[in-house]
Amino acid sequence: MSRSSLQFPSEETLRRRFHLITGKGGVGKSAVTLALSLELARRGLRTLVCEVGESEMMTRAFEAAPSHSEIRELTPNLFAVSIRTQEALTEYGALKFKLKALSQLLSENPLTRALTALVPGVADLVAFGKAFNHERERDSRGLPLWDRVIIDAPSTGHGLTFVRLPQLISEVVPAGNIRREADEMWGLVSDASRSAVHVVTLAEELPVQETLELWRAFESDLKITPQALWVNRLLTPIEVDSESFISTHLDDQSESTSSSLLRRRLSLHRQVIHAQNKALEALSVLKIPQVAQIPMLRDDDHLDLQGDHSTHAPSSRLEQSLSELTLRELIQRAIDQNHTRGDER
Amino acid sequence: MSAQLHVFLGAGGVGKTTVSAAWALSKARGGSRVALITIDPAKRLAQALGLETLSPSLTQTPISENLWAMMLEQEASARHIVTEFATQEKQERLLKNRYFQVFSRALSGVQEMMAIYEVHRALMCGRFDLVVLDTPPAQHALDLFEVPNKLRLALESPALRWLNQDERGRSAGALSGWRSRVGDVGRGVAMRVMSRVTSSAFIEDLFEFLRLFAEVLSQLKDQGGALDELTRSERAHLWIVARPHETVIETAREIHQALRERGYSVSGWILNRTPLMLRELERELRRREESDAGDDTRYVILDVWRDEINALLDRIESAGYAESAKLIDPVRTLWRGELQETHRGLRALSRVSSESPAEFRVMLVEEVVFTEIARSLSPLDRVYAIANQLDEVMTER
Repeated sequence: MSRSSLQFPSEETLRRRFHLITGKGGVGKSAVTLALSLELARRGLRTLVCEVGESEMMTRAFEAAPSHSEIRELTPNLFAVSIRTQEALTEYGALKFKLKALSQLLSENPLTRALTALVPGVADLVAFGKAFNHERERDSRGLPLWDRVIIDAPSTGHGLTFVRLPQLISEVVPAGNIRREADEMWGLVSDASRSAVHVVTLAEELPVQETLELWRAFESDLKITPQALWVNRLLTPIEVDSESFISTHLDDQSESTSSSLLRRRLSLHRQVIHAQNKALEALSVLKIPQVAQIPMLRDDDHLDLQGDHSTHAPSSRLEQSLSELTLRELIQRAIDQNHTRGDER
Repeated sequence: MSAQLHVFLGAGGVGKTTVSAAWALSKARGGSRVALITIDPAKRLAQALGLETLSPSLTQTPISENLWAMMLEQEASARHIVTEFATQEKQERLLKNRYFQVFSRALSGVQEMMAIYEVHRALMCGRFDLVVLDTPPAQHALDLFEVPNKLRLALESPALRWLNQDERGRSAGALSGWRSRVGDVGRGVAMRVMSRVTSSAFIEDLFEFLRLFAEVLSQLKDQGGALDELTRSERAHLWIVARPHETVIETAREIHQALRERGYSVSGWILNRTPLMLRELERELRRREESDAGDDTRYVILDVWRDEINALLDRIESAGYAESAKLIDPVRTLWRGELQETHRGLRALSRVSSESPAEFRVMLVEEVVFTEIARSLSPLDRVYAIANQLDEVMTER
């Protein structure tokens, strides 16, 4: 088997305009958001990434100024914005009431603040609403301002809550603007021709279990079938009979700590591959025709393990031998490699 | 006197649930009566303990008679709270209220309120020596620490005070009543806008809910206050779980900083899934130097580690066997990647140590490995393996 390579979801999925990325915490939702947005922008599609909260992975990855709720252009066709409750609430008010001062008065009012604190869900609604409004934005010719809008949603437990929110609002709010908004939002996420829900996972037991549960919850509770499944950090197996190699060539030597080190490391790798295969098998019940994947990305090309055994202090010596490619650069490189390979074909 | 509290926090995917379970198991084996509670909506605890299901209230586990566990269920806890804190008449109205139904079922933020209730109960019931708490990932964990403050602010707000005044004559014309009472323009505008965007029927529902629930919230606020006090005392320990990986450590550092800003002290970090040998090498180095093992030590360890790897790869390469090439490249890639990640991770970690008090400690937990590949590793095996490592690390202290 060749090295695992970057694989995108089907073209069918990429054609959707509204993309929602969710999955268990720590599986790499942000890596997927990066990969997807870089690829779409590379294809010349004006892409906006909406991030909830203050972590701002996108602007950080591009070493750009923090968004602070302003839209930032990161690279041609790729834009990012962070969504913060208070600012988004003011913005929403301004949009609805055409008067910034009034809406500021509203969102900064102690009563509104108290209610936002007391009424859980408001923050999520506002975040969702803002992403939704970007999807609706039109330019002067009436064409969509954004070709693609991607929202990096909260992780599983919170993620499901997040997507379900518009439906819940429709349940409890009988009428009014919010109800109309919620209905429209729900119309967008539940419409498979306009939106795609992407679920991200790792090929490990616990994340896969959680992914299967999340997938089923989407299907049964929300009646939405996610369109894309991403498996992140896939490892490539080592295809050589290392055990016989070690026992034949290394074990007879007097000093055997390093061969035991090697044996343990390879054993761990085999276990991980074994677990990975089992996990992928478990995921196959979802019957996804094209599973998207991101290989384990490491900048090993630039790393000189031989190091420089000169006079430097140990730590600085090591530091010198380690290159500093960011996740964005690694993903960009994986995308470029994919396209080169595609061109060769 | 309340039980001790150990809270585990960290970015997603670092193995918080597994480490919390291992910690609880290690303490339970040592004779303590332990309550293990997960409030992570991801609900992975049952699986980690090798159980089919886990009850939403504390139940004895088959693993140890001293180990009790539960996974928080928002809806079950919300109903529990209502029946415990509200009067009979209010209970019935609350359970029928449309807003309460949504509130208890699915809104984010409620999870944390319910967690306060359950943890407080476990701490105070007298059946346990120790409560181990597994939290939601990253910044969501901090929401838990915000609850008492949020509740206080909300409960002291004029809006709620007004709602708690006499109910006479308000049920029919709540909104107009409200409007006539609020003096300042801002609040009037806020109310008008709210009823315009949500409809007055919803506002009625919401207000009824707030009115009925205020009592419960006020109880929760008191419990939250007590819990907060305990968390700041010596009876509580906050542990941050991380992997030696730069972005994970950065997230953990943000959590650490946020906790410090709020005046909590962090007992230490548990560095889970540390590459093989790092712990052994560290021990070896401490023995050799018998000096204080600061952060530089870890860099030296990495150098020693790299030298070992280099020596080994050299040997394989120089042996010149036909299979060498096929083995060397992938192994080098594996090790390089690990070395690089670990190095970046430790560098980020050294920044944390330098900002922390002397008693702060970092415990390394090695990537769990079994030599027999035929045996597939269950999540419970992993919990046991980590518990064993924790036992060792604790005695090394």
